[in-house]
Amino acid sequence: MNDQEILTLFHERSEQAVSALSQKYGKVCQHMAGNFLDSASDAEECVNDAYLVVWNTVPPEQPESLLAYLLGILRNLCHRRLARETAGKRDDRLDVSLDELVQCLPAGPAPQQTLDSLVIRDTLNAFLWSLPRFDRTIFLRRYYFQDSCRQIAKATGRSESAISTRLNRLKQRLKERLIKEGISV
Amino acid sequence: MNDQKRAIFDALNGIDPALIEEAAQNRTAPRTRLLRFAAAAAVLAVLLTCLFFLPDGKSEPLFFVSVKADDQLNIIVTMTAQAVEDLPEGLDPSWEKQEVFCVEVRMDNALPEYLAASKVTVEYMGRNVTDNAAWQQLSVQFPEDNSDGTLCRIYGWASNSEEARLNFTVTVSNTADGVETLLCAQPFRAFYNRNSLIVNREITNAESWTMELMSTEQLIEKILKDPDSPMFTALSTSSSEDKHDLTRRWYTEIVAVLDTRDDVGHEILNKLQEFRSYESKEEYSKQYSNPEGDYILILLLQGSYFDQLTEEEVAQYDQLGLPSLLGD
Repeated sequence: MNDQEILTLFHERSEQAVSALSQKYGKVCQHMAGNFLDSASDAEECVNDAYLVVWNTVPPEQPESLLAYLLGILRNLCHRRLARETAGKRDDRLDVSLDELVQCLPAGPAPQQTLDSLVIRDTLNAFLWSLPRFDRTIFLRRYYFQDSCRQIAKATGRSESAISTRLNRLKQRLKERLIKEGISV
Repeated sequence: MNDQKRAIFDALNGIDPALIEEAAQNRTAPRTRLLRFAAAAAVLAVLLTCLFFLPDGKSEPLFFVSVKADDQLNIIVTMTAQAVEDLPEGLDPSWEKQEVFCVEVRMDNALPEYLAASKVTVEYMGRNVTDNAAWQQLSVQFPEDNSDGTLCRIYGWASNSEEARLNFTVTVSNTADGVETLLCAQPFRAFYNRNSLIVNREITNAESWTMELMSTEQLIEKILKDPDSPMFTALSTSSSEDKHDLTRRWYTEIVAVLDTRDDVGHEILNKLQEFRSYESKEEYSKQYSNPEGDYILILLLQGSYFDQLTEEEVAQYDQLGLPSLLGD
């Protein structure tokens, strides 16, 4: 069933909508939620919550990409769950990957300047589109899907160190791009 | 989560949905050693079985060059024999009986915007052929619509009653990220004898035909690690103005990166900077009067690998009157 057919089911308020969504994207959702959360049951709960949010928001929402819409919701739910469970503590998985990206932000001459996530987003999108497909895929797998370097290495048939080195280079290039765009903290 | 991390987290949530879909689809595409071996074996098999002698008027593949990047983006250059009647309209060689071939440059798996920013230049007899035009025994056609990935078709012909030599270089570059990045440069040497068309007969080694698509950074790594890189050879064998310009821009990029490295001698950097400062090859030649200047400069790029230069190369360098390689 294609995305448009699934969206039509949501618009018709058909009970099959959620099961169709789960059938098509359940695996990738479980995988990503599992990357964020230690507990498999927590991950499953977040995935089900994400389906529910889609059910409650479509319509009126008419997402261009059903998968991206679903994963965006799931990321936020996983993050909220993490924040609740690790209140006041440092969560390794998310924090480690975000820490890696924070290092990309150049230290600028105006420390008071506030970060504009919209500018970062636009720069990030332009940066990712400029990369070869393999590079942008491993970048997104690490920082969007929260895959570990080991998981990426296994999936791509490369060594873990090769992936790690490549990601470091990509981060360096991203940093240069951000500097070029005048983004600093 | 502090403000910085929050901003990044939010920025990641705003990533283009198409990118996310692409990454999700690539989740189950492992590149195993077996696959790599199979791909290499397939390329080798094609190269070994390619035909060097072309029967009259048959459309048979001669060989192809596959330039790969991470198993995703392929630049494929195929050379096929053509029947005269298969030539596109308007191409009407004057000879009665012909040997004709077609070199097609195609890019597979490229996103439309990457494809649109890709450019093929063909250098033939010292000319940079930049538009649809026929030059003596070669005609270059750029399709109006390249959405199917076809960037360029080059037709070559000669009478089968004469001996002829056709040397041309196909260069593919891309400006998707704002600067011109060289993707591949492939020289072709086709020559006709009285009975058959023989193409690149001297190149039979698969390594010579398999090049990687790489960034300047990767290229530098490759240059420093592998002075015998075929990419090098391809770039160093031409001394035309156009190629010179391209390599010059390339040097500029390379110098910028080498500048940041501490394992490259200042001597080389200075020389490269000096080269960059010349406005044209004429100006450069006036100073050094050296037709092999490009080649020597490429040798210079090998930096700490001076000890790998042959005596002949060192002597060639010395003849230029440039500072000693050893810096004394």
